Amino acid sequence: MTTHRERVLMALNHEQPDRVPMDLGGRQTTLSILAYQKLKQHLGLSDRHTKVMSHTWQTCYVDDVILEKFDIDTRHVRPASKVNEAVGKHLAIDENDATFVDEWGVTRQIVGDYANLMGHPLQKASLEDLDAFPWPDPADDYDFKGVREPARKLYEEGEYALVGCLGSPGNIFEQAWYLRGLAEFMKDLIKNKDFIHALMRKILDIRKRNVELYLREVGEFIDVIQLADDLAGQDNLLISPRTYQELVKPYQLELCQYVKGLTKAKIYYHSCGAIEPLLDELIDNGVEILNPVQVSAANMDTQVLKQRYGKNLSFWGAIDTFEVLPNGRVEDVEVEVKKRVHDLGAGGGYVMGPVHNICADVPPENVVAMYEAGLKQSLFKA
Amino acid sequence: MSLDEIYDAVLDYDDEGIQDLVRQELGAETPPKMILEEALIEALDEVGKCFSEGTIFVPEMLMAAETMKVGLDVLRPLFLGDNSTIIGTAVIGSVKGDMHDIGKNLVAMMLEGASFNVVDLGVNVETEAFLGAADEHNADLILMSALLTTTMRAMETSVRAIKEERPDIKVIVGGAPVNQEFADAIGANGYSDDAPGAINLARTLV
Repeated sequence: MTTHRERVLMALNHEQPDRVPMDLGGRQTTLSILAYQKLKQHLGLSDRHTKVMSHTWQTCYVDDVILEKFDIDTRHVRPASKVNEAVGKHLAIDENDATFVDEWGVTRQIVGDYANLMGHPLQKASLEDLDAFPWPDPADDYDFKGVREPARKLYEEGEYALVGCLGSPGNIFEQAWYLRGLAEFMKDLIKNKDFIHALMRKILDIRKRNVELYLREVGEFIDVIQLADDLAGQDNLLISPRTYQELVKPYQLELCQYVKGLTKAKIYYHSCGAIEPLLDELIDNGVEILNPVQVSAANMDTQVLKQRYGKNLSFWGAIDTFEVLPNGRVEDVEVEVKKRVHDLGAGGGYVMGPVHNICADVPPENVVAMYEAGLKQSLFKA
Repeated sequence: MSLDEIYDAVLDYDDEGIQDLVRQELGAETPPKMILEEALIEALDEVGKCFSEGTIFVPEMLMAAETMKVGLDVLRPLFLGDNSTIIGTAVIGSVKGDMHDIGKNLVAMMLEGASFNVVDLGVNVETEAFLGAADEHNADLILMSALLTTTMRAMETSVRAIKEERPDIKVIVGGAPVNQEFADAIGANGYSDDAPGAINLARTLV
């Protein structure tokens, strides 16, 4: 009988597994705290503790009982955030209006399912100011040592595919504009390129240190390693392919190659939105898995993606969180799962999951329906 | 032809050179209104067209709008007391609970560039704030943005309340999860899927 791990690895090696592998509980494939509470209640598991995954993203871990219930094939290996404890050296929280300052000095405010950006510490900075900025050290922010033993144990048991999360998203482009403010950053891309290069280099160096600290502990155990950096909006890329090539790609490429030097795990890259025009670039960087396959965005037709990029790229996600999961009926969810498995899963190359962390507007019935439908999707029977 | 140079300066994002070009043109006794309409607004329309077609992106669009605004700063004092160049007054903001503002900012900058008087209320704007600002500034239009499926509900609440209280004010809605069907359902006067479209719509509604 196929183990969960074998199922995922077959799919990622572009071989046909017995059924579509399924993911839940990872950085971009989990639930918001509010949604999780609704799901627990629906499943009669309200007494289970909610463990916060990311304060910034208002997400939480999914209890093993639920993962087993849904027959999820992955387990996520993520270092605990020290700053989530609210006593970390960077994270200052104002309980009254739910604002806090993250480890980069970016001010955020929690509203509903999200922590919105409110203040950007480098908004007025010049090139000369960058050296003096109090850059974070990933060693202060995540408990890398603590992740080794649980990862080793899961690896030796061999049951599940292990998905590695650095702790941080590993983003460079996004982190740069969080620090600078989006409008200012966008203008810098045209008028202030030296500043952009210097900023990207600073962030890349911190990401590389993060990668090294993390992979030193678990690089030998994990099957997949996640990187994330949103480059697209609903209708198009945020920046032109030329701007990407000149000002973003060199840093992403260097990060991917650095990761590859330290682990055999496959690189999973997350970008929301209409990312299709950059897929060849990402493949060239060394990306092997695309997440989240935002099917509601422009030119993200799953049939076309599979046909055009399926040889070099696996797809991870793709169950629509925009319309179907929040607004659809249980039957609509089943149709959606069937379509994505059909479009993306032939010959492997697809791991099913929600496009985005499931937010509170998704009825728990639809979450259950998604995974029940996934279980039925045996491709041999198709 | 210096009008062409001003037009080109917007398309080249030359925010440092554009003021001199506008001053030179004024020195040559070209009417300010002609500079506005035949150089600045035409350039912004061109940029908007390219953005809608997907040939330029947010950075270029922002820089063009910024350049236009810098150029407009030279002309603005000359229009004081002359309302003939102002197409209308627009109040704009992201709806309650929504902190996203890049799309809203683009629309606000382009509206200003297109000769609207713009009152930007920022993000997380309550219904009362939209209505209060509309009263205070005698607005023709209210533009609302929502990026999240979860804040579309706040948009609906605000639009319904505004249409009830001030049916004379035209409301335009936009943002990633919004579509024409939703806009119609909640009683908005218009919807656009991008910033240039919103500006064109605003022009037709006033």
